[in-house]
Amino acid sequence: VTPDAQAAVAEAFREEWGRVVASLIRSTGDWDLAEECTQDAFAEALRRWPDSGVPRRPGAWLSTVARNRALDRLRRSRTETIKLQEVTMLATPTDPTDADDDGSGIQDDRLRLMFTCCHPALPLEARVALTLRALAGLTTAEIARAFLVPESTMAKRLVRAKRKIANAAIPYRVPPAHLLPQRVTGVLAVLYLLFNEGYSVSAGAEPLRENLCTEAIRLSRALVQLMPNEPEAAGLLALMLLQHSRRRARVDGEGELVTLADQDRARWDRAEIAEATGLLEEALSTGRIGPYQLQAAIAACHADATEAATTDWVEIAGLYARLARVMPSPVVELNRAVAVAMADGPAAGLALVEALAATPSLRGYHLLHATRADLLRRLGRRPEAAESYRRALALTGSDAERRFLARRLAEVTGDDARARCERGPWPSLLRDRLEEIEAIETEARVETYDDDLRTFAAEGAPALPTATAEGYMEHDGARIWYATYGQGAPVILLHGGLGHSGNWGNQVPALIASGYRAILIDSRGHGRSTRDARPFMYEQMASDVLAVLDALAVEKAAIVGWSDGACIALILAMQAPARVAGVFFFGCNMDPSGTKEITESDPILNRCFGRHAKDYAALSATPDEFEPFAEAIGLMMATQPNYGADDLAAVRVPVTIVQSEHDEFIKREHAEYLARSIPGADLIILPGVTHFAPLQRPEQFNTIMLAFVRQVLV
Amino acid sequence: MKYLLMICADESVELTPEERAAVGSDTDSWVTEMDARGVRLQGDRLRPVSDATSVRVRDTEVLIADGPFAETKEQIAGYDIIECADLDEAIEVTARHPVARFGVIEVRPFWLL
Repeated sequence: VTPDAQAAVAEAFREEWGRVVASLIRSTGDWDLAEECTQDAFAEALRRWPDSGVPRRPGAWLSTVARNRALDRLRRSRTETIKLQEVTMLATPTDPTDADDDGSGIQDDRLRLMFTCCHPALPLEARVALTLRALAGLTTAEIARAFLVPESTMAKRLVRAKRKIANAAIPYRVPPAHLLPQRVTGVLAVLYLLFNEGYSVSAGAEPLRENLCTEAIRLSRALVQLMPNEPEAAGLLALMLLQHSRRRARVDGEGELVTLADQDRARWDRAEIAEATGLLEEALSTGRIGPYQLQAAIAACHADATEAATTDWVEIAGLYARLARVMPSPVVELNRAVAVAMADGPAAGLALVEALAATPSLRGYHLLHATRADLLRRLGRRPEAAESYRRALALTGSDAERRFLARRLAEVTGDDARARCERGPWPSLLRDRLEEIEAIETEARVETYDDDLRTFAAEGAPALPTATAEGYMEHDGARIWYATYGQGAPVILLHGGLGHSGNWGNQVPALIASGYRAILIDSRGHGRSTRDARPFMYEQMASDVLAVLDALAVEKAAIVGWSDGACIALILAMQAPARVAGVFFFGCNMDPSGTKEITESDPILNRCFGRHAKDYAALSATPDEFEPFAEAIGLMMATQPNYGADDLAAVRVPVTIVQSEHDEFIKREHAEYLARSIPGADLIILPGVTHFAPLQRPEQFNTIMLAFVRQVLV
Repeated sequence: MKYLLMICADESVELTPEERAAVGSDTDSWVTEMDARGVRLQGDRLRPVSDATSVRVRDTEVLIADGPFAETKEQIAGYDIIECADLDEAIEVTARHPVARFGVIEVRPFWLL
């Protein structure tokens, strides 16, 4: 294949994939057939174009080849299910060399496809995935990688969504006028979410995620072309272009985040800024102003300023006030506070931030704490600033942001003399992070909540990826199952009582993606591991973990423990501190006074118990013995663990105590006591979740888990 | 396309006599309109769950229990079967049902064989 033809096919893929798929879906009603035949057409182009040359209208050529392929396949399977009528619908032009039809209607097909993919009756994460698959042509594996979920999970998600489209008769059309405003908003939200997924990552991370930005811009450009009378579509495209125009300046050579004030504005993409400004002016002139146009107008204020010092903060604060009226949200208010601080001084901004700090949904939001920290720093209130920087650090998941915050923290605590000599009169996080804050829409997170554990009860956690190594080892009367995933510094995950390693299905992919080696161990008697007749003891389980470490020749590992897994981890840290880099202690007690009494039947606990019983039957070497097993575990929990404050005071490894706001078993005072008693321990309260946070809100849990792992595994 | 509408409401919520009358007459107008449009095929109101009986057969034994099969806040208070062009039309029809304003209506496509 000559490079020229290859480039032409790649170009055609980006430009034409969505069109070809969309028109085939219309004529066949079969999404899988449409995708497969389009794929075939591109393969055919790769074979033929090097010799025959690139056709004058590559899109029409591809459409015809794909259509012929679909026709062939439908004819062959006609006897099974396909109606003859559908085949005749397809049977128009057939000669790819003469494929110069004007393609009328093809654009409408793409618009139809967008509205169907973004239909509100589909779950949000499926809308995003379908859009990437059907319109942008990403493969299931690529989409899974971009969203850090196992490929099987993504495949299931896509299959389910397509099935619902067919079974519930979600229409394939542009909605009628009375539905249009609401539905357009839905499409825009999906596109912006795509963009943010790509934009919020730091340089050097998964490149596929950065591609999401270009895909989102490409799709938005198509939408603007298809719906020229939608000022918000133009507003969204302008907003994306303005943010994207800073991409070369926002990260420096070492991968560090560069604040807006310190960015080399010469590196901003002027062509993108010009395109955005033109779009925005035209949109605003319609007088139908919406949130995307306002956000783009704010970004344009930054683009207008030739240097940071000349930024028009009064104008920006005014735009935020307007935005807060059309899109009331605490995140917008936080941005307004930042702009007010720039326009009227840090004290005015801090007053607004303090009011927001009382909003429950913002408590776990790292930018709230980062903003508060910065305002306090500028007011000279250094100890309070340091406290807020620490909270922000514990909550953020991005490497570049962590380094940035750590530099600021060092500056306010005086740990690093060099850090104090920052350039510029306002080495401020907050004004520079405006663009980031804007980019976050509280509603539109791709997080699937499973707060009530219905999904877990029905399906279990997502399947684990393929293990790098897996095996059993004999130890102290039991056969212990273990497995490792990925490469890098080792992180051991220890599951809770009655559970097994598969409960970590949401965490293992996140660890692999961040460059760690995840090690899973089924505690004795649990999952695939066996036990003997002796009663259970946490100390014995800790010695099993140590034996696996020896078998794998792992010198030292970070341990993430959940419930029983947490006390096993802490006991190991007491007994073999040299082998434990740190303990992430989630949801457990260290003496019997720390647990709550469960007095009534609780549907969440029942669902979890039911899932454990099912998994036990499927995994255990003694599948029929769940009841005596559960009884033996209950017996252990009633009296163990039993460590006092003196024991805790002797812990010498870094520990973070993590407690869910609504934990069913563990008292919050106990978690606070643990954090107080263990030297240097941190305490993190997870808002909104219960004892099953890793399943309920995996993104939230993974963020703090990764932050911890990063801290202890240098 | 045929859909079942499960009209669900919280039985413990007490409506005032005026509210109850309004829901009643609004439902009547909804039924009249949807019948005239040819959308609604049939439907009815159900007695509350205090009148429900749940039946299971396990190992040939018939197990009978008083009450609904699921203890949820919202209970099925009635149903309608509608025939629509697509889900958008079904949503439009459902959104105009008066119970949607305070309860919830589940729209389920029929399993077409």
